[in-house]
Amino acid sequence: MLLARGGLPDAFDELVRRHQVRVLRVAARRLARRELAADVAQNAFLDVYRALPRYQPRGKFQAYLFRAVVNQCRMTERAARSEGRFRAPLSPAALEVAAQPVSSPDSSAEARILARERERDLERAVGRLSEKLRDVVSLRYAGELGYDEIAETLGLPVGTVKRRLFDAVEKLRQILEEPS
Amino acid sequence: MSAPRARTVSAELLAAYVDGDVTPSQASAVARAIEESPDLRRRADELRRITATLSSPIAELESVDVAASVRAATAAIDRQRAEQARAPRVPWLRRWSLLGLTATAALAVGLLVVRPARHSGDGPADEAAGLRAKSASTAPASAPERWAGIGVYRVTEGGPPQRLGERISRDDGLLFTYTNLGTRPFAYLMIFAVDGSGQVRWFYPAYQEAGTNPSSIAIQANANVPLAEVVRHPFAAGPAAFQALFSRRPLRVEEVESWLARRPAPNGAPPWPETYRQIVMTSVEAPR
Repeated sequence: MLLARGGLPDAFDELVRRHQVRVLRVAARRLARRELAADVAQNAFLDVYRALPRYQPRGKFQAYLFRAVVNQCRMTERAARSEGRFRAPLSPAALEVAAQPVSSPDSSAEARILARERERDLERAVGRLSEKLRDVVSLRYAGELGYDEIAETLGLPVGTVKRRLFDAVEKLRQILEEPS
Repeated sequence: MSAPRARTVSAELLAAYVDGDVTPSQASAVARAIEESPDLRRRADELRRITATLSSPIAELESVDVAASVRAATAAIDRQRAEQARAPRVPWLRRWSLLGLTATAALAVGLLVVRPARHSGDGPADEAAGLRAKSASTAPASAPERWAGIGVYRVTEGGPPQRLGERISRDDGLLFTYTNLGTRPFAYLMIFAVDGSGQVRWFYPAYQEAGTNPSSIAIQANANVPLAEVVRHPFAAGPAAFQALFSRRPLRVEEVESWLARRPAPNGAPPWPETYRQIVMTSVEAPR
């Protein structure tokens, strides 16, 4: 990050390549709308890039980056809530994601369909959690962040992070057990 | 007997257990309760399935690459910034500042090339002389120094990283990049420094606990790859030799330290086959 700020060519590019997979996953899990993940990821990286001249290496870079991702997710959600009358067109990257077939390493078609069903059910369940719970659950499992990193990202005490996380997982279990 | 024990396992404790955030005694208590209660086992299994699915890759996103679109957008931001920066400036002032910068850069390069090594004797300063001689030579295309090397940057409080110069302060953080190209790129890298007191200070791999013997880090074939961590060491004042070992097999910290303890010749080749050693010299200022 500091090298990128210092103007080293390709340093920011390398940073994007290094973190993009987890950023995309966090965005998809946090929004429970995977087709928006590419746009959120791109905007989050651009937020970080715009802030480069002001960047101070005080904490962990991961926390800094994922704070930008969470903020972008919140903005996207706010925009989506007002989408009743207006729906913004998806970018080419988002359309590419939406158009791709879901694939699974399992060759059995039945298992693939079941896995896809399970995924979709879980995504819908995540969508029913509060924003606060979605923040921690996506950062923990999709972002692979530790409790302290999540605490730093969200500006919360570690104890609160754990409580929210365990609450979120238990709520997901309850939602998934509800008769459909 | 089983029912009361299962009841003592709260939903929060069970979720913490599945996430691995319990003490050993809590873990064994929950494990016992799970053994005795099929309902608790079912709930635990369901929580594991949920967390596993949340952690698993999302197939549709695995092949998505936003790097190209981010690059295009950052280029647009840069152009915009450049235009904004140009707009309020007085043209002659800008021209003179550019001329000034060019002259300063030329002077700095001249100093680096002309300045002779000040020290003599069997120490890191001689390694610097060796390095400068090597840098000045026109290496053949197959020589590793044409294709592999590290960049060292010092990080000061609040400022941008600067390429390592003639001097660093003891408090400076250090960042590294590496380039690893050519027809047969290397697979592993070590970076360390030998300071004025003869202490070996490790950067990559991190070597923080005595008794461990970490090995070289794996590297990719690319140019200017940044290594993300800013590392600080309590260097002794005096000359410091930053060294990189590019190798085809991972080397261990202990074997490198025992080689260094034999005080190898400054320009001597490392004892491991197909290993390239690069040395970058600087001087650590004494604390005021």
